[in-house]
Amino acid sequence: MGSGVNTATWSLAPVRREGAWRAVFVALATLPLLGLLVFVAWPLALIVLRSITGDDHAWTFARYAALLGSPRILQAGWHSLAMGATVTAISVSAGFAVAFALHRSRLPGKAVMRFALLLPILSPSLVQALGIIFLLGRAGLVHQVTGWNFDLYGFWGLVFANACYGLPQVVLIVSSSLAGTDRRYYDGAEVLGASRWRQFLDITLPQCRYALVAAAFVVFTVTVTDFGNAIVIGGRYRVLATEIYAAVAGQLDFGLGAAIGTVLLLPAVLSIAVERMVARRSGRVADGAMVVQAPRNIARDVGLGLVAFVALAPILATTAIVVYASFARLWPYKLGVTLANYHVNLADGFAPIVTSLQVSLLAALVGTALLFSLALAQRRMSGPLAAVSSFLALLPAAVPGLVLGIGYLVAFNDGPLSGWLYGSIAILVACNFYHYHAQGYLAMVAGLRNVPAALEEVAQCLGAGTARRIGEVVLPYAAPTLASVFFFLFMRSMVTLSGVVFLVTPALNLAAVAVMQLDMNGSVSQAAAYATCVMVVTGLAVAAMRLAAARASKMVKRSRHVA
Amino acid sequence: MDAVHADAAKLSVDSLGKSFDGVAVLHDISLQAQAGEFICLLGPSGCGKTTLLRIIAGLEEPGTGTVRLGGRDLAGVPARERGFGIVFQSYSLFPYMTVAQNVGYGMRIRGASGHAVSSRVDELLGMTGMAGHAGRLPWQLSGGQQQRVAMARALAVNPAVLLLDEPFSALDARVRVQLRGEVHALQRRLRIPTIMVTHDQEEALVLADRVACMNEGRIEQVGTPREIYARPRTRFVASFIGAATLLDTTFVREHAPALLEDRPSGAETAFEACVRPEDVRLDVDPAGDARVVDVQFLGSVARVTAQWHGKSLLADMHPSRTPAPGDAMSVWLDPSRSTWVAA
Repeated sequence: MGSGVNTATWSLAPVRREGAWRAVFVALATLPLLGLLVFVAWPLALIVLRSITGDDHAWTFARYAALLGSPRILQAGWHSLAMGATVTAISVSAGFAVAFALHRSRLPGKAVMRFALLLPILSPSLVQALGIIFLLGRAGLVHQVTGWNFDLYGFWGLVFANACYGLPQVVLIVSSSLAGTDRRYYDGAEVLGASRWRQFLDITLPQCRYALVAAAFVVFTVTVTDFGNAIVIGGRYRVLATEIYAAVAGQLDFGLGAAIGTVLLLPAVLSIAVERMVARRSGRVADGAMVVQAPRNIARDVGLGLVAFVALAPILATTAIVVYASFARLWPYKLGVTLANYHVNLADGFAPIVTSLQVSLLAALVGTALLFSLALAQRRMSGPLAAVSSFLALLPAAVPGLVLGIGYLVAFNDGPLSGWLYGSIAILVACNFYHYHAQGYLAMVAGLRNVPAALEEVAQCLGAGTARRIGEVVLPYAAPTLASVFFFLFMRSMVTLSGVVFLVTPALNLAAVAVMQLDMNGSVSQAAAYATCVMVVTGLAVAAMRLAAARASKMVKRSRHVA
Repeated sequence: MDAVHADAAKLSVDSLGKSFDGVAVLHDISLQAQAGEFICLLGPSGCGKTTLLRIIAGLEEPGTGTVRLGGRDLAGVPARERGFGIVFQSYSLFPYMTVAQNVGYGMRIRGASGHAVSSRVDELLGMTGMAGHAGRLPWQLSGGQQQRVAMARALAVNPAVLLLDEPFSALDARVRVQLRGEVHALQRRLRIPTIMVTHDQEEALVLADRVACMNEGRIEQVGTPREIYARPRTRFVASFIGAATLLDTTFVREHAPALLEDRPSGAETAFEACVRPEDVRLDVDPAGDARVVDVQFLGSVARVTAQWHGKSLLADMHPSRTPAPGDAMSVWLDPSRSTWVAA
């Protein structure tokens, strides 16, 4: 070899041969895809099948005919539409204003605003409904003090509770496109002489319009398929989600449940289609986008401040009042502090919280591992296999939790897997994981895009095999994503109600379901105590996530200019 | 070096072709690198030069043709078993490893002892002028320093071939020139056959023993930097490297018949005369048939554009004696300095 290199001191051992990488990637893909087939495709197919076959297994549209012929169902369908449309209109307009306040104003207290937006995400889905009952209900604080009566149960109570849940999701979606708008657009318009209002019309709105459409569909779908609030605060205002719950959980009429469930797939499927279109149109945010600095404008900030206050104060107030009521002796008559409500009248006491923790940790752990290996394998797939795999991975986005839960009932109550799954922790883990599979998968794929291809190739040329490349190149860069997917699955599993509500058994209950049961039993203060416990646990998880994600992304940020 | 040894170090690419989704990006590429030779693949973006480098590295599979190292066919040999060194434009260091760990990575994979690794790392860091930085993390280094580490890492395993993919493109102009010089000296000293991809003609002319000029998936010409510049064989090479005026045969016959002497035989449109600006003499002459259109001051020379019977003719003049736009000039072309290129 060359003259200047001292080769005598060490020798080149041959690089260890590993199995062909193709085999590795096939192994990576098999388990996640099998899981999707068993826990998503199969239950879904069974539901659709059940909806178009009679009890005698003959093909028939009788179930749909029965839906259309039932005034009760038609009324519930109309109610669902009206309520969904109202909630969507309120959430999207208020959410846009709040997002705008966060990104285009000089309002102080943005940390408080972000905190308020976080609350509905980390509290069990009934907290806002409980809060408003404590505040405005027949035995509410306002009635106690003033004697005023509100007709809370019904349309407006339901709209309020659902809007509280929808608003943060709108803010999240719209924020990403507001944050990604390059400051130079505004600078350019300013130099050309455009007024602030023109800049808003010509830059801000066009940049957000697809996000707004996507947010509207997401909120509509979530609202129409949520039934926790509908049961707690809907009163006699029946919606499709409560009908399906009554049919399946009350009368064990799976056929009717399957038919309504299939109908509820439609808005979700539509929203996925719109979201994909939006994602394509909105394009990718330029890497070098300069952050927009809001110019000084007191009138604007006062206006936005008022809107943000009106939108966010109820969320803060209802959550706070739930926590407060959980410590009250006899809400709202004796407000002295007691821990009595934390002695809950449930046969298994706080065991459901422990079960929820177990289920959530398992769902997060297994889910993150499966999503990581699927996303890794996906990078090496091509042609029809890649298309099928990504379709299966995103399919759960179109399946409301409610429908997934019924699917699991139909698929796993009997049949080959029922011995293992019925009444087990495994089915709860599966339901929660697959319910949120699509979001986790998208995050994982986006995270893997951050892995620098050139670094992987350098490692390859230096002799690194597949295992080393995954361990030494992919994992360090994917770490922040793995952490955030883990905590996303954990948080969702802790608080979600739809889906698992059909799958819990008296022997195996979950915290979010226990809150609903306590409320339906009339033990509202105990429901508040239970919900508070869940919020504390999930809140701690969020704090841990922030810490872990900050640590992991510090490395990645530093390395942006390195690799 | 004896013949066997020379053959062992020889990288040879034969009749290589490659298409992506039915679009051919490389056509019938053949190229040999001798022991210790520095070859630059030069061409505009999209000409296939990077694809060719990646196929040599084993990061892409060739569609047709072969890559051989010392007579051994590399088909089916994955990148990690080829024992090549590679440096990318993006520095591509492991962000969580120190400089020393980065440089020793390839040796650790090969199971070298800790002592062997650390003495080799010291040697390479000394060689690349990074001796004081062994314990630093990559983000603590400047771009030029990171690229030195990447170079040391590629050299640590005694690569059979060194592959450089636009290694200087991300650096500031001054650092680029400095690092270019260092890489040149290092390569001359180690005599590792090196293939570098670049779109910067100056870089190619300075560094390369031979330049392979690529266009639209083909190698148009391979030659020393002097040959490529002074004797381009195709219209593309003539216009891509340096400035040139191209004159068709009919025009030459009418206005500069002296150039016709060297013209290869062939159809009227098959060849064009290539004239470099420094080989064109313009003299102020009220009866001259060229007219100055534009004068660009470039420091050591002034580049004059003159309109000459409907052609834009480029000529370099001394900056102290430049004409003004509108001046009439007479033209004199040196037949011994012009070349005929395939049109």
